[in-house]
Amino acid sequence: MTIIETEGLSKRYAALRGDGTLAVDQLSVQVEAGQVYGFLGPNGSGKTTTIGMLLGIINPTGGSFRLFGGETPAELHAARQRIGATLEYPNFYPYLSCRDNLRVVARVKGSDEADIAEVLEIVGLASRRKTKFKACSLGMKQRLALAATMIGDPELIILDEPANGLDPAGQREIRDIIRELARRGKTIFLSSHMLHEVERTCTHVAIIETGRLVREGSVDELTSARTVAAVGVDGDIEALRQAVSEFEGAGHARVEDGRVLVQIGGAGLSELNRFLAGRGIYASHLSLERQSLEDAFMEITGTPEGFGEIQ
Amino acid sequence: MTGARAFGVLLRNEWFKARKRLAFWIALGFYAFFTLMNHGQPFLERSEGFRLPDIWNAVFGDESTMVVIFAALTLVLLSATEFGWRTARQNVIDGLSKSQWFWGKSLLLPLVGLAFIGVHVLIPTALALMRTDFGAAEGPLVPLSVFQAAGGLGLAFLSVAALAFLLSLVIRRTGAALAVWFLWIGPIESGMLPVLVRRFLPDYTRWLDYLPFSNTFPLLEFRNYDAATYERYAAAVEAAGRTPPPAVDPAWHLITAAAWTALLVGIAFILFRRRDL
Repeated sequence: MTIIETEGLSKRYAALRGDGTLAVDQLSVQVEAGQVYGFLGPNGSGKTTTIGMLLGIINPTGGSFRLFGGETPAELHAARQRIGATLEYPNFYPYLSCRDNLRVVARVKGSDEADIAEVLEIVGLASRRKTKFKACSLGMKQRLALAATMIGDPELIILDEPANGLDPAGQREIRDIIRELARRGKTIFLSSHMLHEVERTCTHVAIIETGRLVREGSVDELTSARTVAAVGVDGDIEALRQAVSEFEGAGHARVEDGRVLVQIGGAGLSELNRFLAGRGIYASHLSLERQSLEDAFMEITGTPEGFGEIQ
Repeated sequence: MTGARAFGVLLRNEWFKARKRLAFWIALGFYAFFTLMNHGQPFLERSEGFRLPDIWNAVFGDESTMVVIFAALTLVLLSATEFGWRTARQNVIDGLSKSQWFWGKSLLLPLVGLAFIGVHVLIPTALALMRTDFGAAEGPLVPLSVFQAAGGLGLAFLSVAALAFLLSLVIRRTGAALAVWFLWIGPIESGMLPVLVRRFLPDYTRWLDYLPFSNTFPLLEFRNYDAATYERYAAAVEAAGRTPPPAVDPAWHLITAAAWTALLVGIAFILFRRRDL
């Protein structure tokens, strides 16, 4: 069953002068039931605007979309009752406690207030249920937002940067919760900068850039379609990276775990080895590796500029 | 979530959010203190008119403007902050339609109005009850005109609060919405517009009485609902050597207040629906 389907979805923000900003441009994506769908793109690529349109807080200026097959306003409203979502930062009433904020959510979702204790337990906030939202740490706020998405046991969970601003321990907690939700069979639509986590958690991804879809497919398709050369050297790693960058057809070269990783196009390892030897660099390690999602992302979207929060 | 169930959920949520908000109780408590101070002196001095049914002339009068202003301020505080905190957007993400959010929030108009007008009426009434000699009272203690005056005060509040509500939803910032609202009811409606109309449209000056805030003044005066009270008032003014103002029929002002309320809330609804959250 198709849970989310967009067709030529577009959003142009009006401006006093000129044509305004085209934030989302003819976007067509499809999310099937049970998928954990990563929605990736550099900052300002239109991810949040797209999610905002799906959730009914931003009016599209073109195209259409369906949620759970529904398209009319009434059908979309009914469909949204089956969604749990957070967008950007956790938004709650600062003067209410964690539990009271979830009460407001539960009433809106027509859910049993008994759910509140359960979801607070899942996200580890049961003992802090009486803490006012304004007194919560960022990690607690993010976890409360996740708890809110789980109220009413929704079929689709949409998360926009759920680990934004969290330390590694907090990110790990959020990742574990998302994995648990995926294990329970929820369809998850995840917008995140944590490419390593997306690669580990998601089954499918879409990559958008300047509002346009540039790639959509399974994580396996995206990562196995390309291989990268991993080159090690006993000497100066930066000199190696520089030399590898100059190899004909080489993509963006980066240093990772004391090795240089680079996309080398159609060329083989022996040609690269010969090239490096010609520069007086003798590799201590040379292998072909499956490209990571991060590599694929960098290659598809060009440079890492505008994507400063890779974690 | 539709129909009566949706109404129940929206009402419960709005009341839940308001009653948990310290700012709401501070504003209401401050107004209760103000009302108590206002009526405290005549109560302690056992003033002649401080008893039922004479008290109604003091309850519904010039000072009622304060309840309208206090309640409208509180309304802005409770509605504009939903945008600063982005909870309006989150409520919609959680499953309310934008229309449901709007109508839920608009329930604050009667809720806040009832709370403040309740305090405004109940405190002097309770004090006056303590000074009332039930055996000596002539006529009903609570005549029908009290209910008419209370209705007029309620409608006056709604029309002025609807402007505050519209500004809260359009400007989406508490301070700026309050500033524009005060600017309208003060310098613009009571200062600039009368000067401009008298100068450039002198034939239309009587329409100034029907602007949102000016329209409320005749609705606040008890004597405009109660003939006997007006006669006593006119006699007192004449005795002071002045000419009493003519009696005002509040009917057109009631209709105008209702029209302003519907128009301003309607504009707020259309603008809210069209804008992104």
